[in-house]
Amino acid sequence: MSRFATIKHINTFKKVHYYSILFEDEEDSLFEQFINKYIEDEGTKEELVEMVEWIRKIGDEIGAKTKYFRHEGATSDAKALPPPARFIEGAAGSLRLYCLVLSEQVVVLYNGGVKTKNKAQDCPNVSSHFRLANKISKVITQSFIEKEIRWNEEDTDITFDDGFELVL
Amino acid sequence: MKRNNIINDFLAKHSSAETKRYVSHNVDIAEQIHAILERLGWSQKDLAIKLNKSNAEISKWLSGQHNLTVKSIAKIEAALGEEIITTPQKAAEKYKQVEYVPLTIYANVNQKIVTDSYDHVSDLKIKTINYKKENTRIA
Repeated sequence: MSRFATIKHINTFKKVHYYSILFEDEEDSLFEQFINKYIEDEGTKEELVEMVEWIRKIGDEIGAKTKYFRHEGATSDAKALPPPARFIEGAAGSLRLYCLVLSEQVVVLYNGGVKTKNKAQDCPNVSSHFRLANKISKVITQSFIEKEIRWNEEDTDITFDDGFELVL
Repeated sequence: MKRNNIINDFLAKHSSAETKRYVSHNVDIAEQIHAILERLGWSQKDLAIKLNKSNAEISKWLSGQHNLTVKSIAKIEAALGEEIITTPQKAAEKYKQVEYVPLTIYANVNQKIVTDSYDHVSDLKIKTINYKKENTRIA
């Protein structure tokens, strides 16, 4: 069964616009679910706040340079493209937030979790977020091809019609 | 589309000046290392080999989130052969600051004013310019 979702604006800084995904049957976007969950956990609170400070710093001063957003798992097939979603890893190496870097100015923040296994695919905490992040990223990429999502005139932000929904 | 301020609101509630500075320093140091690598034409892998570390570890070090110790910074500096960080005091010594003072000049219209190191044609009777303090003296 298909699920419908909208793109929700999260925050705009001098160099980066951040967005997230809001499913029609949910109250919070994926990024809000992530921060609301891990701020309540004493084990991850500090790492989360530092991660969000990092997101602000990148947004305010650096820009979303891809070298700061890592790809999940190297594939054994050298010709295979990495999955579209990238991730931001907390300093302690446990928290992982998935995202899509559309350009140095636009990033879509998804959900994530505490990674407990070497490979995200094997980790019960993050595997579903990893799969969903890649699924949404592919739909967003397709929406660009179909011009449902477009770049603004300066190529610095995205635009789309009111009521536009991603079908997942 | 409604514009939100979710990250700023979250940080206003949960972060601190200390955390902001800590993260800011981490990112600045990572940016500095990336800039040096680019200038030297080195990849992260080159740095990893030079430091005898895995590529994954260097990736973490250069993520801007890792709490690099002064010892690790020194190791990187030794590998790169140049400084990554400097203190404000050292920076002030290295790049001597130029201090400007306001200098009011009384002159006739279009009179050429000649100072020690500054030729100035003024179309005003009184003009104030910012002048390098080191070039001024009490008459």
